[in-house]
Amino acid sequence: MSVIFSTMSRLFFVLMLVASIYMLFRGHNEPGGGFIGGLFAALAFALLALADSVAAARKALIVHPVVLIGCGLFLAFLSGLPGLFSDGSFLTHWWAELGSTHLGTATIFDIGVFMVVIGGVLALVFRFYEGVEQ
Amino acid sequence: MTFEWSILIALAGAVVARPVSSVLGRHTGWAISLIPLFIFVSIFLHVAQVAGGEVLFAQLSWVPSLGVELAFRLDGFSLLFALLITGIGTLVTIYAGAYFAEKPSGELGRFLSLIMLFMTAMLGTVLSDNLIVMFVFWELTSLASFLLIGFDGHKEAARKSALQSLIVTGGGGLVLFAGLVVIGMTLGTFSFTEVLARSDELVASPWAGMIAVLIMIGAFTKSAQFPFHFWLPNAMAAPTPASAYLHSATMVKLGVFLLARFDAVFAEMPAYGHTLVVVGSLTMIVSALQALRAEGFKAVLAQSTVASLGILVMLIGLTGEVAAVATVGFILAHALYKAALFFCAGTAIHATGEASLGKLGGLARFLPVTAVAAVLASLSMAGLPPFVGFISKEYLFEAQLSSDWNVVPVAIAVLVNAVMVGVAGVVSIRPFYFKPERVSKVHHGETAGLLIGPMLLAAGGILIGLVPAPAAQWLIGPAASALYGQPIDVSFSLWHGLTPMLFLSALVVFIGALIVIKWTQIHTALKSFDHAYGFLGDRFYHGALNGVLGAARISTRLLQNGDQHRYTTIVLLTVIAGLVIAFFAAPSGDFLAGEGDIRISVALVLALTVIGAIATILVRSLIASLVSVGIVGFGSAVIFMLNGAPDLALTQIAVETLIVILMTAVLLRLPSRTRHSRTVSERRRDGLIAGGFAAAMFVALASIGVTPVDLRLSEYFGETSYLEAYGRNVVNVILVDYRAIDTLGEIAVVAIATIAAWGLLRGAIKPLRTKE
Amino acid sequence: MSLIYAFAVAAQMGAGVYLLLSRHVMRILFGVVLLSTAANLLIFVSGGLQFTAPPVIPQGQQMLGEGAANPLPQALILTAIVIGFALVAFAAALVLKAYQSLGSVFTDEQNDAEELGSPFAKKAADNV
Repeated sequence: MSVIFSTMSRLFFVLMLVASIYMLFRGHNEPGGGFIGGLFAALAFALLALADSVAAARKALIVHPVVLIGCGLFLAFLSGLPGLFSDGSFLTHWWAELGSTHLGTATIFDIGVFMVVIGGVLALVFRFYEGVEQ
Repeated sequence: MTFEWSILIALAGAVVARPVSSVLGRHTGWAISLIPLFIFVSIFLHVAQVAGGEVLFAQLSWVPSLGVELAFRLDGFSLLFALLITGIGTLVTIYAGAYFAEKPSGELGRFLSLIMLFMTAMLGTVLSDNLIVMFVFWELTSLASFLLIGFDGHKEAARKSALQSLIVTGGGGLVLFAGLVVIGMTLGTFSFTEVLARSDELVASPWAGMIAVLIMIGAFTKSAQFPFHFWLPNAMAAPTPASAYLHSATMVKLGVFLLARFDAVFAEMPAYGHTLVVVGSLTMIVSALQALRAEGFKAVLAQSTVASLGILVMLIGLTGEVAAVATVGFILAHALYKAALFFCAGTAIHATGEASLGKLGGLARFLPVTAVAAVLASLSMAGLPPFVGFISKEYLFEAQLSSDWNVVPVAIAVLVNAVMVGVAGVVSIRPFYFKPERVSKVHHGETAGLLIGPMLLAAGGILIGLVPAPAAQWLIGPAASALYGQPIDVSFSLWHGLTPMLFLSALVVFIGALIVIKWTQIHTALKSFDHAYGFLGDRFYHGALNGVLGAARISTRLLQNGDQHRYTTIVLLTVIAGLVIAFFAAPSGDFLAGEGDIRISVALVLALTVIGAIATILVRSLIASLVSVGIVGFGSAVIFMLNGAPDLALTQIAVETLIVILMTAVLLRLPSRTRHSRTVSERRRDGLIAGGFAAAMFVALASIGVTPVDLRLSEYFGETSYLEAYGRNVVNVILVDYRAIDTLGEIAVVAIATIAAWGLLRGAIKPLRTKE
Repeated sequence: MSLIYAFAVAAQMGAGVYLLLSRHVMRILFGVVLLSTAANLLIFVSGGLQFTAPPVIPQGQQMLGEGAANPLPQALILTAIVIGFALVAFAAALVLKAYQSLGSVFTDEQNDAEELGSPFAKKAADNV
């Protein structure tokens, strides 16, 4: 593996990760969202795993992908509880107005989706590429 | 406390029976019996109210959108049944406690739990006012019966009999359900009270005949009427306490219960009554013959039970108030003496380990109290004064003589009742008093738990016979009135004077005595041409069952030959057939209606995806196929882009990339050299199937354009997305807000699928088998 | 216009079905991918394709204007794409595991269960 390729892949990794988080948060108002953000973040880690090694990608992710799946599901579930208590209706979202932007539990829900998608995809990519390395 | 709670209390009994048995051990029977006793007393408290002509109702909402309510109704008839169910239930639990004394306490717990579950179902069935609720409980009794017949699951006979009863009664239940649904469709209600009130309307509808037939079949299977009579004798594989309870005193009377209930509805339809008389009489003849041929103690009792059910069905078919009184009186009398006889039979069989009547004898020495109870109960069965059985038989003959059915049913009734007298004599005198040389030893004597049931029931039979007025006024009168629809003044008494009925009774006893004396000769004579009776047993059932199994075997060989290619072919052909049928069933219109201009960009990209798809099947190298698949995927991403779906385009691109990444990892580990997996003819045929599928899809898709898209929902989302959910990207708002629960479910699916795949590949993968 | 879509979707599905009928596990998998892509496109087409602006409410407006594409099928397809991916990934794992356990990529050779014999044969019970 050439040094240039490896370095470039690091650079791309960081760029894609930033872009994916941007996609996640702008998703409510423009194309993007948890699914797309999650897929692109997973692609960033997959790129790192292919260019460098699965071990490096695992290290960069810090937590185990399956942990990420569980946390994401739990977060999405939690985001529905406030509505259950206030309106008696699960997943009816709460909103707070900060100047011109709206912040609400829907964002937390989308973050949950984001985490499940990253965790799910990476659990597989890491598993599939663990034995194939040079 | 209102009466409908009794069902829940019984259910609670089913839940606690098993844990209680592990604490109390052998005393569980006594403890659990307090539950039915409590229900018995609490229902008994309503007797005065109901006897005053009142009908009690209770209601809870269950599935209001389907018109299904947990509605309950307590009138004279259901009150009598509820008292029988809980009263005999109390005795059965006590008896079972003693019957299972030597078994591990877990067995007893399991048995009592099932008995209580059955009691729940029975109470539910007789108390329900809503027909659907009644049906649910009705089926639950079949299930409980299945579990109790198969209680000794290690015995093949028990398993077979259990399955047979479930197939017959469960199948009949489905027929009944069809009948109930048709009633609901005709009248728009499932409330029995309302059906009863609007019975004219029901009988006048074109569906009336069908409803009557469906309900009769359901009832005939449950109450073991010809030609469904064969399952009940086989059900004797159940432990004897269950036989006494389910298969003589209560469950098998449910069919009678239902027929009697609907007798009032179909009062204006004479064919209903006539059918019941014919079927009841046929059942009586068949089971009387079978009773004379039977060998086992319980088998003889079972056949006589079928005969009794036949009598009841015939009585329902007769018209007039005497018939109603006779029906109710016979239900009560039969429950008392038959349960007592089953208890005695159980004790005798259990004590000796011998089930055949021919090998039992002289048991009175060892089981003196049981012998007395058996004699008392069989005297009631034989219909001798001063027992309640005598009074009910007098009513039976009176009902027959006063109806327009004269000679034939009366003759049948006389003969069958004579056989009953014979059976009564044979099951009490022979095993307990005759041939003392036969039994050398018994394993155990009598215990209080074994005696209390038969003694109480036998005593009840003589008590009601001697002092009939209270029972007539509080139980039989109200129940018969509920059946007849008008108040009946019941004068239930032993002595009616020198009537034709008394003469018939005397005749019955005379012939019956002859049968007792000549039992062995008759038995041998009937046995000698056994093959002639095949059609009376379950030969037809076995033939049908084997036919179904054979058909299953053939279809399995045909459809499930172990080759995945065959399975896929069948599925695809079915889908194509469905599409073709839909095409011809659809109203003819403008298929293939294309509209709008052709955009060159879109057309080019679509052409590219088609080329990619075709390339996937043409190239032999797997890597090249993967690339072609990728072309199709990225092409459809561009299509999304060109049609205003940037979210989809981004998702599709990311997913397509990930698919290529994963597939590459798989391909790296698979052998790269490959061969054709299909023969040339198979490929030709598959090509035809694929072409047919594509053609069918093309027509279906082309006709989609004809129907305008319903945009109401989309417009609503577009209008409220920003105002109510503060999001400008409507697609995302739908995902995280409007349909967030769907999305939650979908990410759960993603989580499960990926974790499953991850787990599948976990750890070192060792080959299970190496191939050359 | 819609006829062209219908033709393309039908062709993709036909190719997918042909691959699905193969006995090579990998080709079956390709068939699944083609079918799910085609199915997504089918839903997309049936949602109507008159308008080509993304269903995003422009700044300064409060409702989706005329000319925006139908958002509902897009939301349905978006999750369908991701779920389709999960399905394909699971199937890929299955293919890999099956190959490593059974040593073959052909379904007619992956028949350990069938080699135990017919469940109707008397001897089947002895083989277990």
